Amino acid sequence: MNKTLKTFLSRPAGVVGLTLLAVVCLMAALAPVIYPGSPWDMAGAPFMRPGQNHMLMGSDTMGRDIASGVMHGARVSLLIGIASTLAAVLIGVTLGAIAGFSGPMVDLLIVRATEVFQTIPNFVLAILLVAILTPSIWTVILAIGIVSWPPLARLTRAQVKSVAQREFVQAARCQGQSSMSVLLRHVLPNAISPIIVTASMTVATAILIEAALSFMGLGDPNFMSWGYMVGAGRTVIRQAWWMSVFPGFAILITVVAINLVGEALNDALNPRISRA
Amino acid sequence: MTLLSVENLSIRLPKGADREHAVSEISFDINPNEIVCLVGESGSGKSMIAHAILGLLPPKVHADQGRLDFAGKDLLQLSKSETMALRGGDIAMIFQEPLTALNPLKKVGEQVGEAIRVHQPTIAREALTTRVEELFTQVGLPDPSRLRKAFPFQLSGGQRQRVMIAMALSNNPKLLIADEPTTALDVTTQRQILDLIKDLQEKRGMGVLFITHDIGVVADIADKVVVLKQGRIEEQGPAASVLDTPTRDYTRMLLDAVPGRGSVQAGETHANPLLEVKGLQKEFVTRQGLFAPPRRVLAAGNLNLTLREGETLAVVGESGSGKSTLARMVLRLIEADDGAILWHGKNVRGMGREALRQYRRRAQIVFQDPYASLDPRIPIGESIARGPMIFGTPRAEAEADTRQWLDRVGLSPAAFDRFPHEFSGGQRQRVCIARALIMKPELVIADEAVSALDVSVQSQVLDLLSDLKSEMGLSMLFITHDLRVAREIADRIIVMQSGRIVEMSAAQTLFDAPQEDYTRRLLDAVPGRDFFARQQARAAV
Repeated sequence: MNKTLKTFLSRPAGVVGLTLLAVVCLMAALAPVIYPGSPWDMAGAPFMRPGQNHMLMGSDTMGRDIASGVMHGARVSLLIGIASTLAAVLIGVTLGAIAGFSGPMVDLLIVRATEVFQTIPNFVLAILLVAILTPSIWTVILAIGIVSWPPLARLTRAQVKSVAQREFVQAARCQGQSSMSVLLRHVLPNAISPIIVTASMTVATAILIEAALSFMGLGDPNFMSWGYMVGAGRTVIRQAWWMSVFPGFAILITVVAINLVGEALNDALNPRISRA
Repeated sequence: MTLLSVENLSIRLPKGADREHAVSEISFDINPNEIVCLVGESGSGKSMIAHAILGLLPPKVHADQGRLDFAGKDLLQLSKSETMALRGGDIAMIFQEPLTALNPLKKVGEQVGEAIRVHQPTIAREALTTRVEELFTQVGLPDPSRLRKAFPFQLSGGQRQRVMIAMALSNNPKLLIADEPTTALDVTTQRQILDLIKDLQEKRGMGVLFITHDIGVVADIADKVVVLKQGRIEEQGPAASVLDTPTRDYTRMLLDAVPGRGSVQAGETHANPLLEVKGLQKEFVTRQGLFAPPRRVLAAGNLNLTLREGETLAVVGESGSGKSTLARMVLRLIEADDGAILWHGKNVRGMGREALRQYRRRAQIVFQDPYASLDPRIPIGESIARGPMIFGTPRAEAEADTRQWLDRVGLSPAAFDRFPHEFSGGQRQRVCIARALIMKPELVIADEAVSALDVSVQSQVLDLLSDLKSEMGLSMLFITHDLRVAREIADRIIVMQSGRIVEMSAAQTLFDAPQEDYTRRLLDAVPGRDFFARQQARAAV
């Protein structure tokens, strides 16, 4: 574990990504302390430029403080990104592992089901689900989780299939270990690194999908989110660039940070690189 | 006149490697019409020398001293374009693994043609085709006009290596470098390829640098021998003098480590049968598309054999003969189509889950590739201790047991917490043996258990296996493609070919008076056979 951490920290990508991610987390944690009021409340006159009237990032068309919105938006983005990825990992890894490790009939069924999900465009399905279930933070998480699992399932299946053929897995069988124990103790740990990396990238995608949903007005109306802010500021972007640029920049930073962390994780979880 | 002279060559490795120089202060000459063999164990730096000659050293590795004198020029000082003109032109190379050295998506004829066109861009298409077919004929490929349109996967390993040789010869090289060209091949194919290389070398008067770890091969083809150990030359000279009167202990050790020269094992016992295989059938069927008939490969056709308690039975055959499938079917890692496997008289194929678990505890396997058969994410001690723990041994006891076994197989008990990649191949194989034997099995199946190891390590592991075997009264099913290894360890030997048993007899009988043609061919193909026979005869006098 120690060595994994060491390799992770020896990669510039890991350090930069982790620092940026820490900043975003800090924003999320400190939002209620620095901006105790609701980000939806009016804080001054509308169309304030950044820095005017003590508003760091200016105000929007309704006079709401953009800086407050960006800070509070971090909470929503992170929550949705992580929760929906966990949902996707749970579905994807379970189905993928079952498909890869059991007989051809079960495998075929799961693969076909996955393909059905893959043929439906992600975003359209997400919009449909949220629209039907009425927008709330939980339905958004569920919708993103449901559209994000197929790549994870396919990757897990392929990984499990290839690891299960390796001789050490046969050796574990010959030691008398049960199939469940072989799968959990030998196959999955050796298959997991690319899955972790893909999952970390899925967090970034989930944040983007959430932003896009809010942009279209399908976000939870009780939570300020970056996507909503970009969407609301879009109509006046030529007069007031700051309304969409700052939340847009927040999305960019977070997604880049997560991708960098994912990349460094990829190296750190490879035993040949990290324990050499 | 000297063709290539290597003078005082040193190749520096990047920081953090296991030593500073891959090779240090290497000097030797290759003359036209001469085969020079570079011999050494893995890690001795022999491939590095070949790569330095062709300018193929990996990044961060470079020669920091010495000269490579070829036709008056120093190969180390050449520009990129000069090196490229030389490569595949005057100097050509054959690689170890013919499957990975050929482009899988291109017809083999085109690949050979490409090698010619690179050096003669103006050659006409018809002339190219004629030249390719001519080369294919020279390297003994049947039906060149048809074969040149084949893809690599459609050829056998030996044919692929012939294509590689054709490619290497395409521009009439003066120097041919062969890096372990027969290591990945079966004995009989190895014999053919060795004969071919020797024949072509004589016809064309080429100089050949032949890299190998197998001193038997050296005895068969070398004019001159250079023995390498850990990047330094131990000994060099004409083949006859180095092999017949080695001056260094290391050379002697390499010669002594070649398996299959001692007296054979005692032979048949009449103990109770432990394992009986009756009428075992297995056929692999691969679909080749909707309308094409499926391809059928017979892995086991009516196999019958008996393994008695305390006996070692070797199964010998070329790749594809079904010997590994047999080992896996005995343990039910692969299910047989038909037939019976009797363990103390009970049919293994009818066992339920619990009975199978108990059976596998008594019948353990050691796999071929010690790199693939240990879980890379688990410390080796844990890998070993898990076995007994599954059958209810408390953790503390299992760990103490494991440490004892590590000691018994010649590793330090402190190795318990280390990961597989921290060990060499031979050490890993010892770990695998410990993992199998801690279960206190009655039967050990060794599936090519020493094939991936260097000769000297091979003999150590064989010794370990036979010591433990006699100590514990084990029975062994020993799968190998190498008759020399089988001779070293087996009481009885089965020869398999295409899923069928060709011959089954006591080791002594098989070697002294083989019954079948196929067995005789296998015996004749063993590299260095004449040399070692001569040596033995001399020792007897």
